[in-house]
Order: sequence, then structure tokens, then C-alpha cells
Amino acid sequence: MNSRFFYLDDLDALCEKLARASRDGTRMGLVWDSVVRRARSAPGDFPWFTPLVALVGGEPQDIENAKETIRRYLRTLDDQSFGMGLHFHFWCWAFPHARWALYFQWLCALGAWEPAEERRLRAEFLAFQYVNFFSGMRTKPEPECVDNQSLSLCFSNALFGQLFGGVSAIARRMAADGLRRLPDMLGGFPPSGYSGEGSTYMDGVVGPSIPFVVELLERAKGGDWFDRVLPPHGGSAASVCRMIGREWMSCGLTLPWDHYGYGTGVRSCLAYAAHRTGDPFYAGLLERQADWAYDQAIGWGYDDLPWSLVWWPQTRGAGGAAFASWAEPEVGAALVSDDAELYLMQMWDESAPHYPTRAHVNPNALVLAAYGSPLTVDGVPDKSCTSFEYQDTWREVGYMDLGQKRKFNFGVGCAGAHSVLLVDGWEGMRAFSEYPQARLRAFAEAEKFVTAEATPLYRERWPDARVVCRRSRLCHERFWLIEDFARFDQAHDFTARFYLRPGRIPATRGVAIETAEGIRLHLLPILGGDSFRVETVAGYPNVLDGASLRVDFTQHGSECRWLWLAWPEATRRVASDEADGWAALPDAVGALDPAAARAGLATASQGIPLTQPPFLLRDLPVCRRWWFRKTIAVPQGAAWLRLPRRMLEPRLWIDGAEIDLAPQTLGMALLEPEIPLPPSAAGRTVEILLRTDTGHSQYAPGGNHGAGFSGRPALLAPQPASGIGHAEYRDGQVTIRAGEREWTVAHKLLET
Amino acid sequence: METTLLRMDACAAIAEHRDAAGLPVLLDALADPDWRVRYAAIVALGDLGDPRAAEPLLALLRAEAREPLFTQPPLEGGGDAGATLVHPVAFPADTTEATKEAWRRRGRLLQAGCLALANLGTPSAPLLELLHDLATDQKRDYMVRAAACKALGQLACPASLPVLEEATRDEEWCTATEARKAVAAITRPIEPIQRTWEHEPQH
Repeated sequence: MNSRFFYLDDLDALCEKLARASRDGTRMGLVWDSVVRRARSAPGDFPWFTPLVALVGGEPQDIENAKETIRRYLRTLDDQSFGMGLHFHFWCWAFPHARWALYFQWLCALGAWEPAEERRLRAEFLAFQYVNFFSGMRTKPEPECVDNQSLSLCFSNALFGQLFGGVSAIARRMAADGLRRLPDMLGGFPPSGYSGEGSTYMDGVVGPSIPFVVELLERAKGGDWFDRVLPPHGGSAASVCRMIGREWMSCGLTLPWDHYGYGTGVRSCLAYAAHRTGDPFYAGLLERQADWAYDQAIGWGYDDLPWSLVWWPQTRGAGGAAFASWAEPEVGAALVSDDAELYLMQMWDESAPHYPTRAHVNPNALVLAAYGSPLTVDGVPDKSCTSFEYQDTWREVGYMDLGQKRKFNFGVGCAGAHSVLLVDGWEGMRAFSEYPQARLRAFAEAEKFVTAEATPLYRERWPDARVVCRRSRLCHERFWLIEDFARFDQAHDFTARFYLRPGRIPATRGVAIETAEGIRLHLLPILGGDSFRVETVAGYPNVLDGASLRVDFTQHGSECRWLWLAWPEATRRVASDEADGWAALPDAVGALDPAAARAGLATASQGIPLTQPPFLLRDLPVCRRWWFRKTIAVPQGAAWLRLPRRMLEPRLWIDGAEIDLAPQTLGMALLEPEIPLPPSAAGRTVEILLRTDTGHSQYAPGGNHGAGFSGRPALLAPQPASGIGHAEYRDGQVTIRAGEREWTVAHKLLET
Repeated sequence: METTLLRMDACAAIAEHRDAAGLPVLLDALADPDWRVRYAAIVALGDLGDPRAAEPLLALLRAEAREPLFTQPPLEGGGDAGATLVHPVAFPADTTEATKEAWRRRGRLLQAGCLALANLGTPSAPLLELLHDLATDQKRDYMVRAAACKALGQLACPASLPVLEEATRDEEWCTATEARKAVAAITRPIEPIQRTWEHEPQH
């Protein structure tokens, strides 16, 4: 048995770093304090926090909590042996199993076990690993299979060899294959660092595995495995980390890239990148953008916070996240305004032939976000939504379940489900063979434009396709110009499709929306036909508004061109910050009514920020239900109350009258809801009484995997929005007037 | 589990040290009452590569192939990956311990056996017959079909081509990929298949 704490070469330094952060009240210190508080007061609900707290905290009870966590985990294993998960999705089980084994090793190195129990538990870890995950690794073809699943399996086997190779021959056998394959995993990713599996798998598995894999390879083989560019495809750990950071949009969400849609970012991978590179970009994301109330599942476990704390370098004065425009020739580009308020991504990553279930068909699809809100939609429909069940996109498989076939439709992965150009109405458009589907034609970071061509993907079905191209520009740090150009030999029906957030508002030309957060987008074709159809797609996506607007602009001919003006505007402003100064009352059994809660709040903890669950901020009980109260002076006129996101079962009373939160319930999982205040509140001081549940456990039913609410409450007031007064293209120049201002942009149209 | 692990480790150690004298120990372990030890013995025999193990391995595989594992029904319980909460499984009333053991080891011994026999490099007619059956039997778990295809590629017998051609059309990616590689190994130099992540529904 390796006697060191594997991965923690200098435990004393780690302890000192965290202690100092706690004393200084830095962001890192606040996160560490919240982890310790939960591990100590509710170890059964936050089992993944207990091992690090045992090592760093070092109290006898901390160690006992961690030991009991290990025992509890091992007691689950036999029951796992009878489910389809372990047998057909073994990689999901392998990654957490390896980390529990790692934590077991930490406790061994600490001398925490009686020898007999240590031998027994080690045997359980090893035998389970060998028959389930060594066999699982050997199922994945070598060297072809490079994805989150193989990475998980190879890592788990390699780690077992490192942990137990000194005492177990099967551990050494596992390590031989696992270690051999790991470099191919890193090198098998493209140079862009994007695995093609969608931002969720990138963020949830591939990115979080990087620190574990790199540190393991460096210990086992020596040398630098972070920056090293590896065969066969030129991938590297550094490039994966860079892409993980780039997937953070400036609106606070991660890209809805390929399957699964918008999400919340992972942190431990960024902390590791900050540790390895010293790049302030990563530290800025951690300090300014990360949502630390969120318990991000990494590699099917909930130890993102502990590992973030391990790798997070101690820096002072980390600036705000420097969101910058970027381009990767193989996958896409982002254009970001200097103030990070406007964000556009154009993606052209390759889709998978035949069945694009993860790497979607999105040739030059657009993601737009402004002033903190996403404006376009991509992701997954809910179960009620049949809008993407195209006739030619059904598939039936029988290899992922116990004795039954599973029929599913992969239409949501095809072109029709994305903001792209469609031809002849083929919504199930996809590739049927391997070839380079798209390419970057031009990108300029300073001028903020990108041009990419996806002609080959169209040419597979339509051999007469000469060019299909899209150019996006961020102009004057204020608006976007987007040009679509297609030329074919024959005449075709062209459809420029956009999926927008719902909330259509009147517009004399083009289509305009206003999101639930009061952000407007006016999409106006200043060249090309203004003939369009708008349809509400209920159930798509399954997050945000639970619906979208599908907007189809159409043209017919052998050549089509649109030049779009995409004009974003915010219609609300922060009138007063209301994050601090709340009274907070735990409701342990959920029995309080508003009157009882109000009475209790009078003597409850005062001055609590409504930014995270109180037990993350103070020594207060880990409790599912909380009540909050505050009086707020509402300005004259219309006003909105912004509340934290990820509240569960929330109820709100203003001066005793309950406000219906149903319209905001779904969206608040990702975005802070903005609740319109009743007209009667205008110009008065009102009492806000809020009840909400919050994530309180990583595994208990209703625990939301430990993810707590987060945000910064505020009162919002209207902000004038001028809209577009005039927009035209003439003689190579775009002219736009809005309010009192006029902008001109020289624009040379795309050619073949 | 401690004594089980000791026997598993003993098997692996024999292969690790290329200890030809340990062959009888490994062959004995093929009859170990604990299937985990049998699994470790099969892997070790494959690593050791002694052709004398071919016949006993084939016999074990044929016996294992007769286990009707594919009839396992979906069961309630089991819980989430990595969880520390126990979710007891509700078994049908007449479930025996032998049946439970068969469910626990679904496909593992068959997979290990296919790979081990391929390493021994002795393509007997009975072995090829068994591998051909396993490679295309849709009632087998895909870890078995993929391993059978991989083994046929290593054994590289032209007689396997019709089966492998069929397996290249398997709906499961690992199996189809191993089949393509096997066909290539028999007929031409291997062409790596590079895109890999679109082969399964989401989980």
C-alpha cells in the first residue's frame, strides 16, 4: 500500500493554504468553510466532502465520518450488481469507484483503520473493480475508442494500480492496461480540446478527469503530461482545460453545445488549469463567475468542491474573468463584447454520421446571449415534445437494457433542431459518411468576426451545392450582423431557421422577442426575404422557459442570401441591491405556515445574505426548508424582484399576499427569476416573505444532489429601450439608427 | 472477499511472473467455486499464453455459454453510480443464490475466455464454432459479442469472414468496430476508425 496521500504530495501546505484562506475570508476560504460545515454537521448528506475534511480538518470525528462514508459506499455494491447501470453503463460506476478507493487509501495512509478492516475493505474494492471495470475497459476497442467512457475506465484501472499495486497482482494487471491506454486518451482528443460529446460530457466527465489523469501519469511515468501534445490526434490536457474554460458563457451558463443544453460550469478542472498555467483567465472564472452553491457532479460523483480546493492556487487580486473572443478551426468561434455583456457563438463541429445523438448536426448554428440572458435555444426536449420526431430519424436498439428493445428518435440531434440553414425542408439532415464537414474561413479577434463554411455537409445530399457559408460580426460592441450565403446549381427552397426564447413582441419587420428577464432581441433581415413563419415549440428545451419559438425565414432559388441585424436590448436595470439583510429561519420539518414563520423570523438569525443557503454561509443547520423576510422600499412605477436561481418549491408573499411563481418555476433552475411586483407595491415599503427548499443532500430524495440556490436579489426598474428606428444595407454599408444614435458598418458581402 | 482476493491475486501473480509451473494452479482455479477467481484465472491463462490451457478454457466457455443469463429481468433497486445510499434489490421470490451469482457475472467469464483463447492462438474448429456463435448472438451482452469479434480477428481465419461481415452491421458500436478490425486483419492492413462517440443512447 502506498503510504502517501495519493495526489496530495504536500498535505501540510494544503492545510496551510485552506486555513489562511479561511482566516482571510477569501472566496476560497468561504468555499472551504462551507465544505467543512456540511461535512461535519451532515456527513451522511454530503459524503463526498468527508474525506478531504478528514485529512485537512483532522478531528477524530472527521475521520470517523469519512470511514463510515467508505463503509456505506461499499455496502451498496452488491445491490448495484443487479441493475442495468453497472452492466451496460459500467463507466459511470468506474469513475466514482476509483475515487472512493482513493479516499480509502487516504484513510489508510492516515492509519485510520484497524488492520483487519483495512484488508477486508481493500479486498472489496479490488475484487469489484477487477470483475466489473477491468472487463469494462477491455470492452472498449483500443485504440479507436476515445471518449468520456473509455477515459473513465482507463483512469480507474490505472489508479487502482497506483493505489494497490504494491500489495495486489490484479491491481498491477489493471494498471498495465490502464496506464498503457491513458496517453492515447489524451492524444486522441482533437487539438481543439473538444471531445465532440457535448458540453455536458465535456464539463462533467472529460474536464474533471484531466487533473486525475495528468497527475497520475506524472507520478507513474514522470515528465510533464499537461502541456504535452500527444498522438494520434494532437490532443493535450491543456487544450481540454482551455476548452472547458471557453465553454463558460459570459451570461453565467455553459454552452448548450450538442446534447443536453445549457448548464452550470464545472470548477475543479479550471482550478487545476489555474494551478498549472497561472493564467488569470481561470482564476478569474473561479473568483468571479463560478457558482459555488452548485454541487456539480463530476464523473458521477460530488467532489468537485473538494478538488477545486485542492488545486485552486492561492492568488491575490484575481481580476474579473477576461472573457475573450476565440476560434478553434475544427469546432467554432465565440465573439464577446469587451464588457462581456454580448456573446455570440457560431459552431461547426462535426456531427456523427447516421445517428447524431451526441455530436449534433449544427452547421454554423448560433448561440446568442446578452445582458445575462440566453436569447437562443438548443438542448433537449421534454418527454411531451414530439416536434423533432422526424420520420427518418427513428432507431431501435437492444444492447443497452436488460432483455428489451429501446426505440428512440434522434431528430433533436439533426439539423432541423438547430439555428441553421435548411434546404428543401429536410429537417432530419445529417451526414452518412466520414468527411470534413465544415471549415473556418476567417476569424479576427480584434475586429470580432468569424466566417465558416459548411458546404461539404450539404453537398453530401445535394451535389449541386457550391457554397453554404455564414459570417457573424459583433459591431460597435453593440449589435450583431449575421450573413448567410448559399449558392447551388439548381433552385431549392432555403429556410433560415432560428430557435429563440419565447416572448414574441410586435415588430414591423423581422421577428422580436422579450425574454422573461426583459432582454429583447430583434432579428431583422436587412438583406434577403422577410417572409417567415413562427411556431411555438412546447417542451423544447426542457429547461429555461420550457418552450421556444421556431422562426423560419424562407427563400427560393439557386442562390440565397440573408444579412441579419440581431439587435439586443435590456429593458430593466438594478434599482437597488437587496442581497443582504434578510432574516432567515430554518423549518426542519416543513410545518410552518406564513404566520408562524413570520413570528419565528422576528427572533431568528438576522442580517443573512440571500445569496446561498444559510448553512453555506454561517453555522446554521443543514436544513431543506428555509423562510426569509425583509422589508424593501419599492420605487414608483413598474418593478421586479430578482430572486436566487435553483430555489425549490418556492413561495412568495408580498405584504401578506401570495404571488404566483408558477411562470418562473422551470426557468429558475438556470436563471435568477425576476418577479413582477404588484402595482399596489409601487412607491411603498413592503414586506417580502419567501419560503424555499434548497439542496441539502447529495443523495437523499429531494436533496437536489446538494445543489443550493444562488444569486443576488435586487429590485429592478424599467430601462428605456429604443428599438431599431432604421436599418438598411446600401453600397457596401450597413446603417442603423436607434434612439438618438446612428451606426454605420462597412460590409462586403460574401462570395463563393 | 479477502480469501477470494488472495486467490485472484495468486492467479494474476503467476501470469505476471510468466511462471509456467503455475499452469496447474490456474487450471485448478477454473473450477474455483467463486466466479471472481475463475475470472482472474481466465485472464491469467490468456496472459500466460500456454496453449495447453486451450481445451480447459474452451470447456469452461461452453459451459458458461449455456447459462441463460439473458433472461435476467429488470429489477427494482440498485441505486445510483457512486452512491452511499443502499437501495436494496427486490428479487423474484424463487431466486436462488446460484441465479444471483450468474446475474452478477453476466458476460464477464465469456468475455475473458474469448480474449484469453485468442491469445493462445490455437484456432480449433470447436473454438471457432463457439466464437462464431457468440459474435452474432444478439441475446449476448455486447461485451461478449465484441470480445468474440476481437478474438476472431486475432485468430485470423478466413472461415470467420462471413460471421464477421455480419457483425460489422451490429447496431452496437464496440462490436461493429471489433468486427471491422477483424475483417481488416484477415483481409487487409488495419484502417483505424477514428470517430467513436456516437454509438449509444444518452445516459
